Amino acid sequence: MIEPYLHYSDTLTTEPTTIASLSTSSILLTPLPRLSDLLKVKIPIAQSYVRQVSHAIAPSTKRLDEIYDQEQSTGVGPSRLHSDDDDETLDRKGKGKAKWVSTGDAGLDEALGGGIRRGCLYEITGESAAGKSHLSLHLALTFQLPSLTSSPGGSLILTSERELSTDRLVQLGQHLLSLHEPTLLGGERRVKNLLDNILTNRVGDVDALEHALNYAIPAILESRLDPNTSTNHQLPIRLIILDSITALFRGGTNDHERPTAPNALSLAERSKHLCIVADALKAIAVKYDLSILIINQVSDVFQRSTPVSYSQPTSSFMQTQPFTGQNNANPEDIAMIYKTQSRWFSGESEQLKKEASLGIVWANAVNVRIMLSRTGRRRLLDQYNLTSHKRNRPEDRAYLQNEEEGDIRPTLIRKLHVVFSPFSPASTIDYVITPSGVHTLLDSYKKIDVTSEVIRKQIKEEKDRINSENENAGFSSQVNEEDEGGEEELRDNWDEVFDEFGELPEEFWKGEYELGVVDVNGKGDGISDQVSYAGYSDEMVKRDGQGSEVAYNSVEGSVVGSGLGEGSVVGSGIGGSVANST
Amino acid sequence: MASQEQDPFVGEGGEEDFELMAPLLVAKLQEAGISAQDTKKLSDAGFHTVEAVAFTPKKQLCTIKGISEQKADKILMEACKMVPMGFTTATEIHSRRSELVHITTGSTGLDTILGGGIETGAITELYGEFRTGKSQICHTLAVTCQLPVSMGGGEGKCLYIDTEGTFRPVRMLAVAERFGLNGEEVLDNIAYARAYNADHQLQLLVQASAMMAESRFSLLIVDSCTSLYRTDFSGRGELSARQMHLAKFLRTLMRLADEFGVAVVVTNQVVAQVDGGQFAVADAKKPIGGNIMAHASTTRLNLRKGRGSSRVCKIVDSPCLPEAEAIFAINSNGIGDPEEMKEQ
Repeated sequence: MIEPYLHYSDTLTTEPTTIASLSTSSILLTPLPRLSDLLKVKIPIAQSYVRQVSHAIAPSTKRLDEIYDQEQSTGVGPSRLHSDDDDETLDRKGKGKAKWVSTGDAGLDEALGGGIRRGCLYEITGESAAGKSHLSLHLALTFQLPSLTSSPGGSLILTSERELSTDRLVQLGQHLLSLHEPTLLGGERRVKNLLDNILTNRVGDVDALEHALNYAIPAILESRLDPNTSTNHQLPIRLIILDSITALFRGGTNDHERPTAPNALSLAERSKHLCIVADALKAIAVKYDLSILIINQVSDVFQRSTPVSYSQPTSSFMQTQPFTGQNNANPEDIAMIYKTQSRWFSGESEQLKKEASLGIVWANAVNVRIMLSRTGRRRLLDQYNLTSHKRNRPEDRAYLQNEEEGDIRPTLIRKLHVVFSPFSPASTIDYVITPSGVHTLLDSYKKIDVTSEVIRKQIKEEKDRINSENENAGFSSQVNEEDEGGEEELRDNWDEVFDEFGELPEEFWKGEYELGVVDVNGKGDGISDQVSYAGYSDEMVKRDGQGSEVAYNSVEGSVVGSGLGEGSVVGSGIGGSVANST
Repeated sequence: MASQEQDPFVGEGGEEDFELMAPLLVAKLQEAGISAQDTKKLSDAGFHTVEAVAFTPKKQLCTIKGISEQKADKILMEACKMVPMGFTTATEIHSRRSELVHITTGSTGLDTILGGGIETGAITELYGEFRTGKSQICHTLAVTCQLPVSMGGGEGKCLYIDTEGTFRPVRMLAVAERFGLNGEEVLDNIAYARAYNADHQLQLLVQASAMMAESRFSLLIVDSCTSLYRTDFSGRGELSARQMHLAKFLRTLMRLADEFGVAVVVTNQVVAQVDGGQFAVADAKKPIGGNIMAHASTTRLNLRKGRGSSRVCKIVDSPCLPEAEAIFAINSNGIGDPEEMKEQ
């Protein structure tokens, strides 16, 4: 810790001070008049002392190409830069690349640019039940596996809302060990070792966090590095997780007053604490060479009065002038206002109207932001080999009989969105949570490419314009071949259903029943079984399309909707009332 | 050899476990380089043990005469090195959790998916439409929490905060009879309060903590947590005020759960989603309270109606339980298993 400069009020001894008796930090940080006073020299002499001392202790400058070569030769760079063939297999798992730790999942590693990098601050944000804490537990375990990293390490988990949930940790530990290190024996003993290397503590408020970051955590990190105090299977700490940082800033600490809405003063306070915390975390990350994972929550983004495009950056000059009073500059969409700019870094997207909490100060403090969300779509997935399946229909029963071991369940598809990162492009990738942890799905990695989005949109608008002109002129409208990115063709082997909370019954997944589909425009094309929409249903249609048989009386309720769902029901005779109770 | 087959999470060997460290006197800090004068100043100010010093915020130490900011920093650094600052390994937490009390709900199916019942020391949120059984579960829990731990109860009283006026003691008498408890005593052990507005609801918690300090409570029910917020705060303008208030309420609940080890059960209402969204369903129901509510509750259970008198409960958000469903029934004597299951 740097000693602060010598205060005027500090009473020094009466002996004259020589330059030799002062510490370098005192020399560099004391104001010049005071220094010259102390040493009884003139100011220019004191200046030269300061200059000489700073030259002496300044670190030598390094050229970038030297650093690059050094990293390549010691294998410290990220895995994908390495071109050596023999390192191919090691590359994938990040082993041998001291700065990078593989997450245990190839798709996730690719999305993150090689894995989790040491010395960086990662933020995992997302709505509740998206899987944030779970991902952090998964990483806390993979960090300890020697097959995934050349320097395994333990983790420190700080929780602010609730105690660590260890049941899942044990279960995950068992599964991860059997997945990545099945050849070693030891079983329960090894799971215990995994848990022994995870330290945890509660932090109730920001002051407790700052206290821990300044004193308690460095003390623990040191003791784990010191060969005298650490025992055999104790690994040095390589990962610090804070779950979650938002809870420390929400909820208020003042016990007496009625909590009021945040005002400018409290926001300034909050920003100050955020900066202090972020600085302390980064300092620890660099000094002890570890990664930091912060879990953040989300807040809703309210609908703007005019729809905002996520692929069209505003380029109009008029829109960069906030107060011109021009009629056509939409005040909601003015370029330099936070609301307009935040959509690029807050994790908000067309599908997810939520943004990461804690504002722009925190967004600038983290190195990598990852947004997790639940897409609401479910798919039949084998929990072990992650193959997707179509809903078993009576004619597919033969397939079922061959199934010996597979465990096929309707699984919720979740989405991981790398919002920004210095190591990889912005992208999204789908993943699922199975008993053995977090697994990304093949072929779901999509880079977010703003330029091609813009071009695609322009082409589409052009087409729509032509179509509408043709319609007006009496020609039949062209079939719009360019549907949503050509995803429909891929769905030969599996289909997805929108079912956020998993309310569809088992019979539906076995293919015995279908959902009646509400047809908004009355152009019945019957029952769709590609992407259908779930909901409550009084009656479900039997698969042979016989219409309104009361096949399954599941729950009371309402019309099964599609899109903005009112409208006539086709073929299934669902009449039910739209229960809009509040 | 036999010891190796033991569950490694159970405490191994008596001596290792019994590290009852005697508190270190402040004078011990001298070994770390703090001068004797400074340690004397600390003990004069009331800090007699190293533990006391380690957990004190720096600002407080600086108020001691003669301890400057740098000195306080150094003292804290050394103190934290000497004292385990509350960091425990996950193994210890895991073995502690195996002793956690779960309160049975009365239905075996529901208990199974919950891992034994409602967890104490955490907030469980029940949400669903009307007539899905939220208040019924609360009434049953108010009785089962008084059962001894061996029967799946919590061995403590119940505190019931009611906001909708749905409290019916007669239901509890029926449940008491089912478990063979004396109806009068059961009702005596339930402390009831009716909240009239959101501020009042928050204030009741202050009284609650006073009561919990005096006798053993095992369950705190708030039925329902969010209905008063809907009427007291209206419109988007008051939204942030509402969320702040709700956040404070939930934080206080969490503190009570932690401090006294009670199970906290809150019920929540749902709102219909009438707007679109990409895959909107005409009748999708979402629990209210927004992100604040979602993040504060440890476990969220979604209740919906099944066939006849049966109800379906699904775990929607839990730190350790997988998404699973259970069917239970609302019977005349509380929550129980549905008829078909019983016949099997």
